[in-house]
Amino acid sequence: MKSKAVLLGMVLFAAACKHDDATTATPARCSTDTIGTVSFSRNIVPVFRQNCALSGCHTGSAPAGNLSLDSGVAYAALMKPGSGYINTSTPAASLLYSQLLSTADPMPPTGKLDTCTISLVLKWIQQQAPNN
Amino acid sequence: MRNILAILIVIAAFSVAGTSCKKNDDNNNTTSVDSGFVYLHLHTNIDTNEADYNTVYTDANGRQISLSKAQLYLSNIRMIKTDGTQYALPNSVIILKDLETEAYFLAKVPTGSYKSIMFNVGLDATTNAKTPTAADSALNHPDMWFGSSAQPDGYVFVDLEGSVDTTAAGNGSTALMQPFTYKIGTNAHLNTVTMPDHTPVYSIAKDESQFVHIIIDYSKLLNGVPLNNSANLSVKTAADNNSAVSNTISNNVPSMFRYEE
Repeated sequence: MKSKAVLLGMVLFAAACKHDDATTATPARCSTDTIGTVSFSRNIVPVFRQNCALSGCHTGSAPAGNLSLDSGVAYAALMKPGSGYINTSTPAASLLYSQLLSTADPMPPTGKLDTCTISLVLKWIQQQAPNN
Repeated sequence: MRNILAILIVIAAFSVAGTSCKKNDDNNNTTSVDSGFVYLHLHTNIDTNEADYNTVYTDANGRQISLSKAQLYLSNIRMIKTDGTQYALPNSVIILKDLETEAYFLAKVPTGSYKSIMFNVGLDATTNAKTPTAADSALNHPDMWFGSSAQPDGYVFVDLEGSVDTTAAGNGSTALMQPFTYKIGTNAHLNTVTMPDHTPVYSIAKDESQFVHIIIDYSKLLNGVPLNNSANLSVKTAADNNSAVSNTISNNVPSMFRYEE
């Protein structure tokens, strides 16, 4: 009887912490995790090119939201003072990042980017959004 | 004796099981409210054109206009929940929207779903009667006072200045555009704007930022103003705000605002 009780106790103790373990599970790794310093030209611009600087969107002379993400002008447009697109002091408050998470005004409108790409954009901002 | 010991062990085990998750439970029952960060992202437009100062644009009626100043106060900002109830931001949240700045942090707002936002364009009577201190960053702007000080005449709620084609048909030349100044204020011209319901709703998530994108189209202010009468091109003082043209402009204020699509 005593050994059964001890066993039950151990089982209960282990089960009691299962919830904690589940909520702190490590997310799946991204291939981009290995990137040390995020490059605007090599890592970020291609994301814009494939998802944002598309016809009728953030490209050309009259881009949506007056924000062109064409490769030649994207950096200057994002860094325009007062625009809020990039906030290096509070990276998660950057409009660029916020829109990637938004459900009210999702960007891209056609569907959310994968979490690894979104994390990459945030990482670039956290690294002070260099024009590298 | 063994049975008693076994019972004690089981009780102890249940006790450990019940308390080992206490930290999480406490977090869930905390009295502080989860909240996210809400920002306004405000564009200054002439019709569909994002405006810069001293550039000539054409409004929806084909009339040419250029701006040398375009700024206004937003206050008493409230987020409207999907059930229709309102969450009022602190009264201290006053936005002086100028042309150069687009992003304005409003406040931390409780998590949840919100369908709209409403705000005053201008300042309530109490604030309008206030003499600002240096710490009142939004109010301490002499260019938004009717006089050389904020009192006794109060604040300019909307300041629109520039040049406009004043021909009746709105087909005049750029060279003949005439300067105008509209400083709209006084308690009588405080406007409340309720934005339409936004689809999808704004989902404020814990510790995340949500931007509300709004276009402010200043060309709407001129609707119905007889611009071909030079007397209608100037509203500069608090006393001028008793005029018919100031009423027309003030009544146009709510139509200036629309969501960015």
